[in-house]
Amino acid sequence: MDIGKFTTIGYIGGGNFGKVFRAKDNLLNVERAIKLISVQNPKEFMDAINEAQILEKCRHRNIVDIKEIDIHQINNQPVPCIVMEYLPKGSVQRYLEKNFVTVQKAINIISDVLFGLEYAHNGNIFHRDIKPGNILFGSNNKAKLSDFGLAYGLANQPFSFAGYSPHIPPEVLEGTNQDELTDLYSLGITFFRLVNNIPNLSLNFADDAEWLKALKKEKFPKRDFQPHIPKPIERLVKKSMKSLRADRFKTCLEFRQAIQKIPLFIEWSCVSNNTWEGKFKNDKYEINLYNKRTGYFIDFKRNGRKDNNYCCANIVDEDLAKKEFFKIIRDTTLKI
Amino acid sequence: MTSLGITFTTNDIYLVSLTGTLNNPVFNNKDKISLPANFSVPQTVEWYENQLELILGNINPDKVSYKLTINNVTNNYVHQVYYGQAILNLLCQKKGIDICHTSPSSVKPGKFNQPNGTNLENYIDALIGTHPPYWNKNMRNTALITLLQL
Repeated sequence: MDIGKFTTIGYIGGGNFGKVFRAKDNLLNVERAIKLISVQNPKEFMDAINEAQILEKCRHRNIVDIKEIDIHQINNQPVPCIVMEYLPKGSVQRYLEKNFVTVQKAINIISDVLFGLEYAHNGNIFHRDIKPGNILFGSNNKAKLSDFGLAYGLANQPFSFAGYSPHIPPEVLEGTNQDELTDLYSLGITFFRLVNNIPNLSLNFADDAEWLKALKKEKFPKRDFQPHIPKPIERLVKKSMKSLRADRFKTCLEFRQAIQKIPLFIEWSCVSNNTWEGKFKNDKYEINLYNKRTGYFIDFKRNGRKDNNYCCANIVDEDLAKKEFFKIIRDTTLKI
Repeated sequence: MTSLGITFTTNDIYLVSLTGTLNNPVFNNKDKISLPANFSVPQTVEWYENQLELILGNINPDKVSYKLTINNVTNNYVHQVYYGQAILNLLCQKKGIDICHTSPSSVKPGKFNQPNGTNLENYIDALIGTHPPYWNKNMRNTALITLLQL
């Protein structure tokens, strides 16, 4: 399909508001991603985006670069098209669906996003739809926020857009305008999903009142954490998704500083229930839980050699052994 | 004119911005930002680039000054202080912002038209007020080097 000077060469994905194609810019001979927005009022959409000066205010290394926004005639219909840099490594959502996200990876992604978000917030631009699907990986694996400003264009459309539903805070459900703190809440939910490896979060409420009640009581999403997540990180994630605005991080800087104050050591990945692999600097680690006739054993190896400081033997109870296993993982994530 | 002063330490960076004049300054902003824990040298340098860019973008200063001490050459100090100052110089150069360093020994009462023996920490408090939290010796010294550029 030809769209102005672009020729589509592949389909990237679709969402509620349109489809994204990989395309070639025939004049500059570079690849781009083009998002075709399905809206009833293309001109209003464009005016809202232009008025917010999204293009000028969102140029940052942690924000997906928008090259141009224009209306093109597609099948004789005017369609707003957002032309962005093409990032072949895809989204955090796709990564989350196919890989184990380590605590370190989750923290790196959130820290990167907070840099971009802080930059946009300084220019009074809010994202309003932060979710793993809107975070992409750049060529150096740095995370970049995508779809910045799309919400500004969608705000005037004849349907109510309030962001990805499972990520919206209680105040938005009550009709409050979205702002810095609502973005931070959505990022907090994203953080929660990343550290816990939750690819999808679905709403299952009879009505909005039930949903709002669950949000206010912090029952949705249920604040359960995987056993490998260290407590200081758990506390930080909980704070980032507090239902009361006064209890949340107030700024991106405050959020990022809290994250970056936590020292991180071994980056553990789950291989199987009882085997995890880790790395720190040039060292490789492995931890295994297994049982023999005399009880449960935990082997902790650094570069293939047993480190007796962390090994355990003859644990009588499986639950106890599991607790010890994850305690070692949690502890060595923060200190060795 | 907006002046921004920065003090780099191995744990934190302190920043104060002022507008107005040397004798009649107006407090604009201050912050203490902690360096990330356990970052490698390349990670720290990248962090500095991101962080300092945000600070410069947010405050939009006409002049930048930072405290330079040259008697400390431990590994940590080089990576966490001097590299940060290098990145600050680079960013200011790219953005066309005037930048200079101030050595602690040059911060003397005479520079502020005050008699010898004046306690400069008390002087800066009286001039621009106190702005807790973290309104400590480092922050006051940062305010003084910021003031010198007005």
